[in-house]
Amino acid sequence: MCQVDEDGVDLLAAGDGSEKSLADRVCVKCGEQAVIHLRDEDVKCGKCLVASVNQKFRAVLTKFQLSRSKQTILVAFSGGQVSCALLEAVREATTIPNFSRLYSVLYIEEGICDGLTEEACQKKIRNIVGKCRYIFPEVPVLVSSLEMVFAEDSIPLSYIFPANSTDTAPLTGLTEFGARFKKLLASTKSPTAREELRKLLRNNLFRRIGHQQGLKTLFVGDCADRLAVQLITDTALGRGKHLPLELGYADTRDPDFTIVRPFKDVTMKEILMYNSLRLNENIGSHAEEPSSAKKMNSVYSFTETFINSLQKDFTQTVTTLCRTGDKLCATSTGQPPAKHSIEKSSGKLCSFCCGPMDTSEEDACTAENSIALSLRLSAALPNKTVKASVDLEDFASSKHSECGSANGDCAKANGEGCCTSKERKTPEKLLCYSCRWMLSEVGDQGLLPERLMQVNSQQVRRAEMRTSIQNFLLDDDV
Amino acid sequence: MPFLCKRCSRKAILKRPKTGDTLCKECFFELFELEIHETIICAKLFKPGLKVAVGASGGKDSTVLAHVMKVLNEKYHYGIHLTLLSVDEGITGYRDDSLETVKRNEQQYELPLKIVSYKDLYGWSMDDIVKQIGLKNNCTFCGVFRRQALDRGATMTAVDMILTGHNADDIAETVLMNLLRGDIARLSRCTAIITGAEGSLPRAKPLKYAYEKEIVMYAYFKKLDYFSTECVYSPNAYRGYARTFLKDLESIRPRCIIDIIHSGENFAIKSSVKMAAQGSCSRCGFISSQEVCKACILLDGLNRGLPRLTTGKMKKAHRSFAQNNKQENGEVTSPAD
Repeated sequence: MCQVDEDGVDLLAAGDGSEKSLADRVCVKCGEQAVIHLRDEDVKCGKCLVASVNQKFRAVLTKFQLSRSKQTILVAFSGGQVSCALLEAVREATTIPNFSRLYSVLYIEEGICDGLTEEACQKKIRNIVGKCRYIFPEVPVLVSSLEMVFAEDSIPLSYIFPANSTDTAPLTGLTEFGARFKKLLASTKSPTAREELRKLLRNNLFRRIGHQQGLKTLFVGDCADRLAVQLITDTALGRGKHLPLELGYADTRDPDFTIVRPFKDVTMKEILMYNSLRLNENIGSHAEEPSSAKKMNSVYSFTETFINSLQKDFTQTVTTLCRTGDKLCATSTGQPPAKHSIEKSSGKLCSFCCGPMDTSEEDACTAENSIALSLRLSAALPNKTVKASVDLEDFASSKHSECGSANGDCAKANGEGCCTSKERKTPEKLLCYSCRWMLSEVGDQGLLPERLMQVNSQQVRRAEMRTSIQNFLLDDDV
Repeated sequence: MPFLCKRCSRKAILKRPKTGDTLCKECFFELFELEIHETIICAKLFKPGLKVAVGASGGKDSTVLAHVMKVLNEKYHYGIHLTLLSVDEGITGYRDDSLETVKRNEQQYELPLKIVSYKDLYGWSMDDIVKQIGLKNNCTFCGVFRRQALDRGATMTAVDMILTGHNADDIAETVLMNLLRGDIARLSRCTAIITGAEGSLPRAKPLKYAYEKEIVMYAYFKKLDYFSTECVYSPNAYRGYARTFLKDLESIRPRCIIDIIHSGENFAIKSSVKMAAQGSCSRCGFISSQEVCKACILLDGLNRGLPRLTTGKMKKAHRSFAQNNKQENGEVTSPAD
């Protein structure tokens, strides 16, 4: 239970100075009455807080050269506190000369995951559009629903509400793929896997809509608190290598579509105060949290509860986690983690999540190989020919397939992995560690969107082509 | 209807936490030992003739480690020479009882035992230290001193490597803790199965991928003799938060433990991040990332009656140490007995 060095703990627990009430304190910038205490001696008045949040937003626009973009930028909107604040910051930026005025809001209805009826979904969508109209009347609102990820070619946008429109026509086509989506979710074993699958499909839908509309950038409302929880959640799910993409200012795994997090350094405390100062009380204080934040028995919800309670005793927890995330990188251009963590597989990106591959060398002593060994031995156990201990050792060392064939002969013949492998459709070598687990939780991979699996097949073909010409390639990045 | 062992179809008496397989105890022992053997082989930990000290506290992890190492050494002919190495921190009601367990292990496993004590090495027992500083930051002193005590004991017994009983849960907990504290330097090292910079004694963790629950099961069904009480000074440690969280995670998704270790093994640190280089202490010569190691700094603080100085900002502690060094011409004295 002991630890070597508790110096950091003293810093984490540094008092937030709230011994003095805010009534006695003034803003460090302008000397006006303080309304919020952020950290240490940093207290701000309402005006300076609003300016600070807007400034952080505009700094990200400048960082990614989006401030004067002629392209329309999509803004993901869920109706939650952070989304409302983001949309308000977007609106504020458009009033400033030299900043872009071209935005569209994108809302993805996910009521199907929570078992909502069509009427309830439609009511929710009208509510969301109403909020957008209140915050930023001039922005067009695009609406789709999560089950549209099953669409083969183009993603039908359920509705497009033009700028300044008060149209509330009923939505159509919401349930076309609803039954398939419900079946997919029902076949997924654990709440954690369902949540991860939902998140991946949502991001996939964002990218497809972006490509279809010819747009290159999407803003999402991820704030510091949410990213701190995401860091621990991703670590717990084996996505350590993906952290820079999941937590950074930009997710660049798709070279043609970038997901940007303008509120990465803004805490929820600042967001709540910003909303209460800038938006109507009904929007700011009662904004509905997105359905994924509702309590589920999942790793994310456990982690959220843990971080929130730790933050109360150790007020620097969230900021420390965000700073730690900033120090990590995805590639070995930084200090390599260990010599065995090499991208050995023929593709460099996971064909499901498009994150960097994190496969270990076959004989390396790693957690991945350790759990693979345990599962291999577990699968070998009912084999009636495996009696003596020496047989188990053979299974441990000669890399038998799950069905018992030696040296992966079954996989070579089958071309797609062991004949008993649940991952029959998508070879393991094309999936990262975490996606392999997630897809094993999906009862039948045939239930996944065909378009997604087609992309997998394309990846397999390209990977095979690459393997055959590997020795003649001069540049590893082509 | 009784559960049957998945392997031999005899009556199963346990469900394996790692895989959920129902097993009889003999098949469980075999699988547990085989997986540790595979870890040792993959990591190429040993070569014949190596002298290896097993850090033995009398607790379940080190007792299981000592037992399994003896079994595997004989079964797979590693050709290594095993000894037990124990540290007496001087905690009444805790360490003195667990040392009795280690002494029994010495008889039971027929392995030579060496005990080193804080009192002999530093002139201070943990009881003395807690009397001086109270219950805050006592873990800092104990951990720092123990690390060096193991090295010193290993040097006295002329071994080539130290084995510790850190298990998968410990490693996962450490990864979480280093994330929460933003300790990038430790984050980059804490998942390595062998640690120890050039010139210092390597330490290995053969139980790195063994779940704590399985270690308890192994010890329980093998009827191994171990001591299982929490350290009396530990209740307020920060690690407790990470531990509780890990236990909660394990209850909904047991695989999280291995997945956290996998994440830890795949973290890449940006090259722009400054990392402390590991060198040697200018006073005692043991491993240190600063000019003077933390053990010397802490000891200096205790001896001068300023222990709190050394558990705060290190720059201040180093400055104070340097000043004191100049004044006393580099001599660090132990308190009178």
